[in-house]
Amino acid sequence: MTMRKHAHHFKDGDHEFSASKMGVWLFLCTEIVMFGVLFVAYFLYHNQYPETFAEGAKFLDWRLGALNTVVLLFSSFTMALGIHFCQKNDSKKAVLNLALTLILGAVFMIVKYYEYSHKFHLGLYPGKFFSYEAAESVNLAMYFSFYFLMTGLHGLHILIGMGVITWVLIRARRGEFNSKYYTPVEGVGLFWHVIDLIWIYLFPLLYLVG
Amino acid sequence: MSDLLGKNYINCEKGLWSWLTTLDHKRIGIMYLIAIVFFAFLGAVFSLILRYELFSAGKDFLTALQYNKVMTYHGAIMTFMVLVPGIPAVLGNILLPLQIGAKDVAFPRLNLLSWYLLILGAAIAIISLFTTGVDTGWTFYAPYSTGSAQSGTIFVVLGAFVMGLASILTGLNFIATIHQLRAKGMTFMRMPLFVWGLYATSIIQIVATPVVGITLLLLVAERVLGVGVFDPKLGGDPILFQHFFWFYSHPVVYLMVLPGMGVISEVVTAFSKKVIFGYKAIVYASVAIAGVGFLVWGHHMFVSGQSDWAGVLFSFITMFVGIPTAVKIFNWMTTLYKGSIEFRTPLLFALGFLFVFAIGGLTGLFLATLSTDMHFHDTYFVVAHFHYTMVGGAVMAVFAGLFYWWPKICGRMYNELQGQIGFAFVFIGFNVTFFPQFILGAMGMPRRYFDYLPEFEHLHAVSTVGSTIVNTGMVILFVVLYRAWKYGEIAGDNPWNATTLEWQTTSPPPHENFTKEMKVTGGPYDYA
Amino acid sequence: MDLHHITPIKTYIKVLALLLFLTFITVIVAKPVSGFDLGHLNTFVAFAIATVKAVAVGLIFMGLKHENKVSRNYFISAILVLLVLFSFLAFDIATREVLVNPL
Repeated sequence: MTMRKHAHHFKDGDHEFSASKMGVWLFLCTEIVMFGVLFVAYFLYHNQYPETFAEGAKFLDWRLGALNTVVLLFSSFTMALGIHFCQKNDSKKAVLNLALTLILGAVFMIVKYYEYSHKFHLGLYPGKFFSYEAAESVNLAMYFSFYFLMTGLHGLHILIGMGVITWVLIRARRGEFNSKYYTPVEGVGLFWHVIDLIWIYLFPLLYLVG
Repeated sequence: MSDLLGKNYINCEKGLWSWLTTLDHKRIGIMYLIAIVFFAFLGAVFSLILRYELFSAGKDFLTALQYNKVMTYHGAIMTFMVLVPGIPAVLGNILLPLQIGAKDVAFPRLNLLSWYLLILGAAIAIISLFTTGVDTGWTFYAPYSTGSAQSGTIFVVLGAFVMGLASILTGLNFIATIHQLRAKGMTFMRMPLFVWGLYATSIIQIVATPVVGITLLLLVAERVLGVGVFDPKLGGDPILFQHFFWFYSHPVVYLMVLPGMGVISEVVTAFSKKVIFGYKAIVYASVAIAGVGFLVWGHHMFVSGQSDWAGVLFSFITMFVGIPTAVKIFNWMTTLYKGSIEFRTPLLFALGFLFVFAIGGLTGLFLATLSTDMHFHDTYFVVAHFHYTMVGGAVMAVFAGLFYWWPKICGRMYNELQGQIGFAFVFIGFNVTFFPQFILGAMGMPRRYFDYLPEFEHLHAVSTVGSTIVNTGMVILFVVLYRAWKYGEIAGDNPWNATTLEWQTTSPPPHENFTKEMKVTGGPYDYA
Repeated sequence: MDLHHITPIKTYIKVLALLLFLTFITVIVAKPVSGFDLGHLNTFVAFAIATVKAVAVGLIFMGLKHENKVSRNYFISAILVLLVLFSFLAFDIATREVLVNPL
């Protein structure tokens, strides 16, 4: 284990850790607000065009949504364990759990891929590319605009999350983290949990409420 | 040049590369200053083109479309590239750590990243000049912006998004710095008021900017994919765009002025050599302005088609902004009362701020009142009002701050007489430019028009003359600052005998700001 | 607050079990799955359950329970800001005299 020197403007490692963590939390606030605005818009239009949204929701398979929810919940769990084992100086188990998180993220994206290609196959594209013939509502395209915008932005976050998990995974394998210094894992973990948090709301909103 | 000044943050490393890769908050602040002066120059050029087109009635040298583009660039550049990053990123970056006795901001690398993001965003926005340009006005209102507007709109919108990210990261950095890096003994109620101003500003940056970020992305999606969120042809609600836009853009005018008010607090107390009157009242007023600022955005939309009841509600809440603002103005006046006042350039700018901002604030009440706004809405009255608050508030304060802290930033003193001449040009020119616009607006001259009826011609001509005087003044001021940096007399560590922490280190400060650990035992303005 | 709080694995397992259980419940009571049609109550139940899940993730997985007050308050204020945005918008739309359907 190598001791890491904290940056010059902090008193010690703990000081740096607590500042960094606060920085991550503030960043997560901005993420929540950003996604929240989409939710607000969704609510308003859902209220204005209930039939359109009900029709759109029929194209979604709640089984796949539920599967992805379970996948993400497990990935949050393994992420938390990854940090737990860093705190306990157990690099091996930390690496294992981070790798599991990464795999679960990939599973989520694969399921998403199947869902998306099914919709593209039917011509259920967002906005002006919408080409489904048998739509009953005039603006069914709007539902799919929301669907793709929200799940797309969420999926983008999953990909970014997988990217940063890979980064901490490599560093963890090199044995750079220990009970005194695991700031990056903690930060990445918080980010990953927020992605899970957003999906916890997206799932009922899109798949169950209709 | 700097040999006389000893080793400091400016001369500790040499070469352009050492600046572009620096993590020192003071150097990053200087880089922001240079970038923003350049953007302000661009914005000012556009404003002069506008004013000269409006000098006389009829078409002079711009077509209506060209006029719309010039007007949009003036607005977009001045808000997104100059006023929003202005005080926080320049003065805040340089002074926040110094004022709280820290060695740097909490995340120096993030700080540098913010600068690059600002430059990247600005570059994306400016590239649009070489395409079709953009003619929506800086507010990008749907459905015009989602439909027939020039295709260059996408660039400016994306640029504004990236600059928003830069602004978020700056705010995040400042909040973490203020919470984590204060010197021993500096409680929240012992922080200088400029730091409080920055704190209130950062809250707005963190919570409001993501709203406009996603809104701008939705606008891009609307143009590229036709998602229908804001486009009534597809079932969307264009008023929703205005709601989302102003939810950010109203707080953002407080974002421009709150740190400015912080500067004024510092300058007023330093040049009256008196403890500031009502420290706590000013602190709470800052936070109150930031808070109430989130509840009033609908007053931009009285005639937009939002419900009458929403208009009444927003009008009512808006009145409350007047209270904390007035509290601050009274506190500054009372601080000046019986102080040993020294009329130096920074104080002149602070007094100019009080004068101009009071007019801006009071005319704001006319516009916040539902019934009078029906008459004034979208006239030059509004244009004059927001220039009085934003130029009066932010620009006067920027210069007050720059002249006040310049001896600290570069270790050298500016020429007092030249500074005062510059102030006179800016102050007089500003009022000559914008006061006639109140009258024009009251007479019914609509804003954003490239032509007008002959009866408005005299006042427009006066306004154009004024704009030339202001811009001359700006040039004078920057030349004065540049000459001070190059040839000014050595200023000493504390030329104003001020009491906040930044004056207790050398001028310019060393790379790590202080040579010893700072300890604070009392309030920030100990002039007794 | 407790800077390096180590949550025992047992707690994590309990929370995971709770989350999976709630996911199961929310699926079961949903209209497309079971056909329970309670009108607006369906939506309410779904979001109430989602909120319980979110709180569990926030408090335990993200460690908000042991986080410092400042971060916690900012996180809460972000949600408050969204509530403000939503309620004013809802108020505006609900009180518009004619809500024109543009279609």
